[in-house]
Amino acid sequence: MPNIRVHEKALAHLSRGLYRSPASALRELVSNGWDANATTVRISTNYPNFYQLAVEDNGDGFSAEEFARLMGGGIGNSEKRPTAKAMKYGRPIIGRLGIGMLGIAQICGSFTVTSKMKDGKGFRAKVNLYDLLKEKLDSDDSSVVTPSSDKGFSEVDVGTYDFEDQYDLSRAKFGTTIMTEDVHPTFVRAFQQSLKSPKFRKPPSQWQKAIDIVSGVHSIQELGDYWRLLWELAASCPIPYVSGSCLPEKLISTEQKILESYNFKVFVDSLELKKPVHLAGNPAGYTIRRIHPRHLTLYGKSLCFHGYIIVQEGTQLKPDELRGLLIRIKNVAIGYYDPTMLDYRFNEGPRSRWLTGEIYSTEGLEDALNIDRDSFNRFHPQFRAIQEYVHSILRGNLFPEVYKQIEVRSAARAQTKRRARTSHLKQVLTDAAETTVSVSRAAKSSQVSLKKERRKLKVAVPDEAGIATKKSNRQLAASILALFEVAMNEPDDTRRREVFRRSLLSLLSKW
Amino acid sequence: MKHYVRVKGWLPHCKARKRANADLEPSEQRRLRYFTFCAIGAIDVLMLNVAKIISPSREDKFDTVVFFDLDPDAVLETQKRIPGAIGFPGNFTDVVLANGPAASLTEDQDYLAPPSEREDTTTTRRDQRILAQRGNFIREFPFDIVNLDLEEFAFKPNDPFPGKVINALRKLFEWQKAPLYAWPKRPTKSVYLDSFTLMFTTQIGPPNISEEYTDMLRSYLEQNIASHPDLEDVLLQRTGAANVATLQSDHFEDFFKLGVPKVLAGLLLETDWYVDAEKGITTFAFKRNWTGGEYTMLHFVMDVKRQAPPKHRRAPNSGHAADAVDAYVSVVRRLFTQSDLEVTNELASSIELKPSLEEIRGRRRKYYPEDV
Repeated sequence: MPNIRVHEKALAHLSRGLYRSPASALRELVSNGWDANATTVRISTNYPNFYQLAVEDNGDGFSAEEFARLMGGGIGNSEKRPTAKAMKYGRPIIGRLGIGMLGIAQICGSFTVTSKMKDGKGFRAKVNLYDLLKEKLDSDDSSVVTPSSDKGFSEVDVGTYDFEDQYDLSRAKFGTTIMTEDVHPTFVRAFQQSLKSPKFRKPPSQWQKAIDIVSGVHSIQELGDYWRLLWELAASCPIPYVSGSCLPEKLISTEQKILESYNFKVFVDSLELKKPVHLAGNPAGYTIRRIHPRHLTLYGKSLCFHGYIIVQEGTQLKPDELRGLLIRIKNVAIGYYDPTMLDYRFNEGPRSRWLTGEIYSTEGLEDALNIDRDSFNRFHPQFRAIQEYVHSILRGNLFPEVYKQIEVRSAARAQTKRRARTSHLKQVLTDAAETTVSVSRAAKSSQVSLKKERRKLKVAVPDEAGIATKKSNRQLAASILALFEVAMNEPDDTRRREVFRRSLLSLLSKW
Repeated sequence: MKHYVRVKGWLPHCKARKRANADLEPSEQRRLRYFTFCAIGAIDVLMLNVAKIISPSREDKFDTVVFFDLDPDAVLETQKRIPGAIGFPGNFTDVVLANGPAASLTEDQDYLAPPSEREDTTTTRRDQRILAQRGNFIREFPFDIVNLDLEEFAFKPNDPFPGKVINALRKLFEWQKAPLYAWPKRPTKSVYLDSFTLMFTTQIGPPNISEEYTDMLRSYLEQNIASHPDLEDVLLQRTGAANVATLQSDHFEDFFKLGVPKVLAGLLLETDWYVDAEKGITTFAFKRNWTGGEYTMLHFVMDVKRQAPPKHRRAPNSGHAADAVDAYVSVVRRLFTQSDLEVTNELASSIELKPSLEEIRGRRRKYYPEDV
């Protein structure tokens, strides 16, 4: 029976079009730093001109031989490294396909890789990616596609690399640095233009201030592509939150301790990134659901996940990009916050814009990843399991609680309004009667009763239940009837008419 | 020795520039703008920062500092040590002269937009970037302090005369006339610099310097002597050479030390600036060793003023402003009469430079703790 094969061209195409944003490509390089036991990854964008982009980590580095293996066919090989790697700080390994390094090809035509291991060995190599690769692949251009003796298969090259033998490695720092050298003008232009966005703000030196800035806009895009890069990297990298108490009820305090124990920092242009989540001080409070650890076995494979969902009662989350649910595998975000809440099938109206949450998968789910590591196969059984569980919480538990809270808030608001109106009515009646007035409700009576006691007028307004009008108009109707009766106490028609007119307008002015 | 020049040459001029800014009305005071070839250590920037001449923004960013470096790695490293500084990777003269020496002052064209006629290749992208870089660089002008610490030959034998450096300087002095617009918010009317501080560094040489360049230097000096014959005696007393030709053949270093600042003063005059006669041009020289032998570095420091009234307000063909011409004559005379300062190890160690360097390194560690 003939085998089904995947043509190498497919991978070659992927090398130029895998990620949906620069942050997604850079996130893969950050993940490489994590897997190399780096404690710091620095991304430099050459702000504000963006003519170069560099990612450097202080990790283990790798050898010229490993680099040659990667470039000569190891890119995309699921055996990322030939031997099992010892991870420090209790970190899980993130990388899988080893395609991350070429991800940067989406924004540049060449780059230099410098790597130095702890034993002082290392290399520096320049990688040149072919121009017009997609066109050449489509036309089977012989400069990139070489027919092989194996029938039906061709060898595909995406570029060349050269080791810089003259490079003085003693100059290099331990770890790996990837420096772009031919940044695509479209990238440069987009980022330069982003600094001219009307709401653009210069990046601060502290991440907390950055959160304050992004929380002041409806969408990150208002701040431009540079801020989007900062936000997306901050949201997706395995880095700590601003603090363990950045969410109510210390929702992520355990997660924060774990993240801090990994001893991993990411800087962009000297700004240390933290997760872009900080919710506090909402007047109506928060409705929270913790997703306690769940362990499932599906088709013989384990799936473990936990997390939280939080609803900011009555107030839309800002920025929009924070709305929805974010799934992390081994602390790395897959895509960004999903505003569809994993394809939730019910319309919760504006309530869905109050909701954010994170789901941490500690085991499994990797098979559900699409190759861009930015999205899921939504019909994968492990993804469906998480989806069903989350939707059961949303539908069966969380949103009903949110609606209940809305009712409670509505009742409280109505009560406050009623008190204010009664107080206002009392003031209007006092002005009309030119004496002190007390207002009470006449039980089970649809009539207004007035009673004079010394210098005080006691007004009993009709029981609203007995007034045959719309419920929302009953307090107003009862108040008008009270005004009418007080006006009727005046000695003549002209005076009655005048007092009633003045009182009515005064009542309506603050109703 | 280089740090001696920084402390004794650059710093006093820059302090004076800061004082001049402090004397302005509060609404007109601003953070000084600095252009440099600072190299990875950014010692000059941090020295000026320690001396409170270059102030970072409220967010602690050096966003009024602009620098060039040929090496992309160096740009990356420098930006770590002076965060927020605006770094240009590439060859300074290539970028400045990207579309020829006659290019216009303002650059509004969108060179990074996808061209309709060219394919997306390495060459197309490089051409786009270099022109865009030039536009970005022009938009950073003007600077209160310009530190052209080139550390290379100003006159390269393979450069078509007058050479890339001279052409680039001419452009740079032209761009210095651009309005200030970035501080503290866009002013309602254009404000222009009336003066700036210029530091220029070059090596003496090269040994195979072309005749065109030496002829240029000689002609400048001969013109001066022709206008002021008494300078010939001054020249003889100072260098032992009876005329410029002898100076060139027998005392090439002195010939070069006299000729280069004359070229700078001439370029400034040509571009509607002039060297302030009060301090003139201070010259520092020191020798360095390398595997190929010994070479001499020259550092020139000067205050530069805008001619008043500026050229566009003077009558056509009226020549330079009278003050500028007087200052030029005075500066030239002073170049002949005033010896350069030869910086030796003994001289450099005669003053306490170590605390200054330690303070600078401490400041650098503040911004980049991993720096060792």
